[in-house]
Amino acid sequence: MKEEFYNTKGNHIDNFNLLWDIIDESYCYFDYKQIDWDSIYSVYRPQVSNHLTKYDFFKICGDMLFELKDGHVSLSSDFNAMSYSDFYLDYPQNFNITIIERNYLAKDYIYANGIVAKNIRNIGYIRYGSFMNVIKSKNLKEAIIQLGEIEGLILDVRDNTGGSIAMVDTIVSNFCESDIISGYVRYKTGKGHNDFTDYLPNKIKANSEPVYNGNIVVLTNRLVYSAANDFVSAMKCLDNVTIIGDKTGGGGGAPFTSELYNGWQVKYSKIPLYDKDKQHIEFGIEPDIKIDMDKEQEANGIDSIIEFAIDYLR
Amino acid sequence: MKFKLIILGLIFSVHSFASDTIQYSNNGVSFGMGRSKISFLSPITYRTFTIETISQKTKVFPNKENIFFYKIELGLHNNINQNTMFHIGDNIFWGQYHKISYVQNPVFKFYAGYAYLNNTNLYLKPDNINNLLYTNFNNMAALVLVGSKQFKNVYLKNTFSIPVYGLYYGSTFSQNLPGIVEKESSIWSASKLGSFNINTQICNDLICDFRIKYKNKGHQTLRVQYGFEYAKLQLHNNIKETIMHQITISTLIKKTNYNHAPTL
Repeated sequence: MKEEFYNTKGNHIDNFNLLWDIIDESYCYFDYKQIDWDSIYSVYRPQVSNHLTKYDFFKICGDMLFELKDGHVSLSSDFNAMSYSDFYLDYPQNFNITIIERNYLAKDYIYANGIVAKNIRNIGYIRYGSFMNVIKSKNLKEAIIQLGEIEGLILDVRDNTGGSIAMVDTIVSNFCESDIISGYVRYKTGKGHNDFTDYLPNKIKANSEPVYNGNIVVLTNRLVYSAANDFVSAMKCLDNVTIIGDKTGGGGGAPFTSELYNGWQVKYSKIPLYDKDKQHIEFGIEPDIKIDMDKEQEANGIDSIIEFAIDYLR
Repeated sequence: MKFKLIILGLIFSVHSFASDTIQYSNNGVSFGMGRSKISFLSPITYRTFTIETISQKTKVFPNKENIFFYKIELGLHNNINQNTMFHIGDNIFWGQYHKISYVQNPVFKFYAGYAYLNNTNLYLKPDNINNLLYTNFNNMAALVLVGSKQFKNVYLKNTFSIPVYGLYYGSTFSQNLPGIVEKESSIWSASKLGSFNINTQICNDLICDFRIKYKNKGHQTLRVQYGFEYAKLQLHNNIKETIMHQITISTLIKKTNYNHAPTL
């Protein structure tokens, strides 16, 4: 009876083959990353047998998925989870939330739904920490009104690992003078590695008037990922926007979810997003001005990237 | 005078129409179980449990029969790992069957006809990202074969239907990508006309009508129905495959000339 129950969950080889198939049929970056998925099968499949412990089997599956070098790829079970994190762990953090909270926002800041805002030396500072926070145009507008007279605006999305891509359109539409094509998307139409639709434009419709039409700086680091990465790509389309900080982490493929017979959840990139020039944004977006945080100033409670942005906007 | 004649003619025609037709309706509830695989949501086959309400109207003429029914369905899907999906759907069916006189015999009566089927479903797998919803909206023309037999207090009828052509809509790429999906993947561009290559489906319903005599209330008819359905919809690189067994219990309500002793 126990054996029969086990079989309904599939054995290790069944689950490995299913995992390999899911990625083979749906993952969208094989060609762009020049990954030979068949040869990866021939490397990892011989390592799998039905006698492995679930912990060893999980590690083999995780190692295979690491080959995709994709932060949107993850495998999770009730005893462990893996996800690729080299896209930010190999680089400086360039962000310190404690310094922001204690030395810049302090106790008198504006909080409009998911947006934190403050007038810092006549420069508007807005922090949007996660695209999981659903905000409305009204929240953004109200926050900017309360900033008063400002000489420029900083949008700080460092350490923003993404969330709802719908929020990208909502926020960017408030800074557009007119409708823009912020980027493109290609949908997977079949099981082949190159089965995609044509480039379909993502049009962002401008709100009746922009909430702010002065100079804007968007602050970035390597942990700007997924929807936040797409946000930076869209903001780059606007003439009055400068990207300052480190290259973003990337994550240009909209993730989908699937599952194995044994209940493990697998997430993978399926829909590639492109910038306005039809270039991939999977490996991140270069800033207009590359700058790292000064460690000495950080030790003294100063965020040198914010300070640079303030000086830049004056 | 001419107007009066027309009115009289209409009244007469209505009366003559009513005298040789039977009309009844039945409302009931249905319980189903089976399995389903919605590849857009998961590659795993799920056990499926459904509950439905059905409302049906039947008109029986001397040589033909018209049926219309409407079902609303709620479904729960789970698998061995206790992962869960849900769905809500409805089914609309309108059919007309004609008596096949040259194959009639004392034992069975046979009918053949056509039907329009509409099937709409919305599936939800809450723990998915970007592919948490799958919808399909199918409009189909079907062929129908019916066989029936009347015993003393029991009426048996078997209806077999097979959709032969249809206009099918199913989720194409994903949700949650506003500004793109809505414009480029409208319901029209995502719809496809086709036959068995898109949708392979068979339905069989076995109906048993029992005439029950009550002490004070006269007669009543109880309908017990067993339905089997297999459907495989292959659309936009996604496959939705379902196998369902359903038991429906309903009572027949008299409308016109129905005497709880089926006379088909």
